[in-house]
Amino acid sequence: MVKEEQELANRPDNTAFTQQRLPAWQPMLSAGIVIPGFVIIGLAFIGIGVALFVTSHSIQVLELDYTGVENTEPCYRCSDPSSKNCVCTLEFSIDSLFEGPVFFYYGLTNYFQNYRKYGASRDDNQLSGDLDYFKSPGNDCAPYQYNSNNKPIVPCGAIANSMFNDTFKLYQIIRGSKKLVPFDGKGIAWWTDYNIKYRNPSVTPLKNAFNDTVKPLFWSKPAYELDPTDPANNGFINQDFLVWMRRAALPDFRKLYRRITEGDYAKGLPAGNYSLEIAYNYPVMSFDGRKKVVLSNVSWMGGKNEFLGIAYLVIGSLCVVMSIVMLIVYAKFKFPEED
Amino acid sequence: MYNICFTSMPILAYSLLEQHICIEVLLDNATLYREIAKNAVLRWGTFLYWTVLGVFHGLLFFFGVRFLFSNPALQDNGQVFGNWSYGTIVFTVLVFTVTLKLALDTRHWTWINHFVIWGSLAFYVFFSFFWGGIIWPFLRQQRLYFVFANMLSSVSAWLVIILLILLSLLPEILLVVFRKPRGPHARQKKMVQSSVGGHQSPRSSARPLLMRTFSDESNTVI
Repeated sequence: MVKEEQELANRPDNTAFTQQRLPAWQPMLSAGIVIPGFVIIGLAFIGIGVALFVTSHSIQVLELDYTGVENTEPCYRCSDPSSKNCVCTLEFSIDSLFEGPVFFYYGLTNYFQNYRKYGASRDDNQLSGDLDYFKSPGNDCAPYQYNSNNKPIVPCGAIANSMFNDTFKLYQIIRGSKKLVPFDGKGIAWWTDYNIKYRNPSVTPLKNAFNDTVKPLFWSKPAYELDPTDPANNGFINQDFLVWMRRAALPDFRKLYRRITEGDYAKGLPAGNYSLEIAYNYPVMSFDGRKKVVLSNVSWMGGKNEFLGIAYLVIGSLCVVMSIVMLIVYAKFKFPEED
Repeated sequence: MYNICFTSMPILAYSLLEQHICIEVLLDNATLYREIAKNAVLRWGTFLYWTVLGVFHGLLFFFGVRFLFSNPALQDNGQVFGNWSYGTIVFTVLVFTVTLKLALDTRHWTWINHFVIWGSLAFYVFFSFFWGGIIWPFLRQQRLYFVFANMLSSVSAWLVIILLILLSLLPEILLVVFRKPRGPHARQKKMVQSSVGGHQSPRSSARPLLMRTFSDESNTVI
């Protein structure tokens, strides 16, 4: 009697879960599902691939390298490290209407913004306007944390210190005279960066918040003078600063500088001769980097990128080919059986 | 996060609830257990297959996104993606591929399997929005703020995610369709053959799965 009770006590419950009898669905991969499935996926991918390819082809891009490596290039004399406040001019021409809105990027090569130690070298508390961190920047910023006189650097860190400081002016040459192409510098950084993540300290005038701090070593003017004409673009919320602080993923990258959307150029850049005036300040020759300027228009898929279109076309055709192979296999083995 | 929250529950449910062969067949043919005796499935072949598949997936995810980023302006307002967006795209493709591969392997779908697999994916998306939507006071660097939501606002990012998931699961799908059967049906036919000694066409046990499915036999439990 006792033994039977002990056996009953150890018996597992007779529920669906413990007895592995839960109701279940088993997928049945029959030919009627697999082959049409592959065909549909293949055709859909080919359709998307064609749309991507055509869109990418219709995007116009103009790239101009202005590093000045060879002595025949206009910016050669500026690439000398000892030259200061050098201005050079690049002439180029456009054959047909460059449709608007036109986006003006600057690009750098061989520049590793994705290096770990470089990327960690910033203080987000400082950049959100917390004055406590103006006095004592975070340790991640070392060695760009305090200067030789032990004064805190604001904004600290290697990313802020290496901010890109070339400036550009674009002129169209009409009958020998230069006409300035107006640039729009609003909305080039992420909305959340500009409005939420980066905040100026709430001190007016802004200059007072920076008492007892020094500007980064590489900068020529402090953060509160980045754009004295527009307080919505000054200090930490300067759009160029925000664009620079968003680290690039690859060593060849481009960042948005301005947009050409206003005035006579709202429809785009008409065909003709243009002259780009560059205030060449940023030294890249020491690490074999290159600087360039990219003019591009943008579509629903972004900038010009042929990879996605080609990849979708290839995978789509592969799916269609495989479905044909499966159909042949089906025909070969199914029909002789029925005889 | 990855190991505990995004990918642990599906494999747990799979290991507890999966039935390649149904209970009745197992009770009839106890010799089927010999198939898995003495760690028979831990063979070099299986191990190498999984390792090569892992390497293939890794290369595909990384270089797929790397070629996409040859022009990092992926949004329709011309703005440029950064380092964290790159990593978020790769990570999203990774989590979805791993979970969907398990979904392909699962042949006995109970409600628990549905719940953990689709629930894990939904949790990943929800968590990414949640984590990137708030400025966390205890974090020194607000690296991922809004990165996930921004990534989803770009059509190119969506397209590359779908492409990479499908491409990485393609070998698995092909294998499922073309694989030689090791299932109960082959065993059953062999049993009948040896015991009865009668004429039984060996085709059904030797033909790959594709042809078995075409002859109205399923690839799953009977």
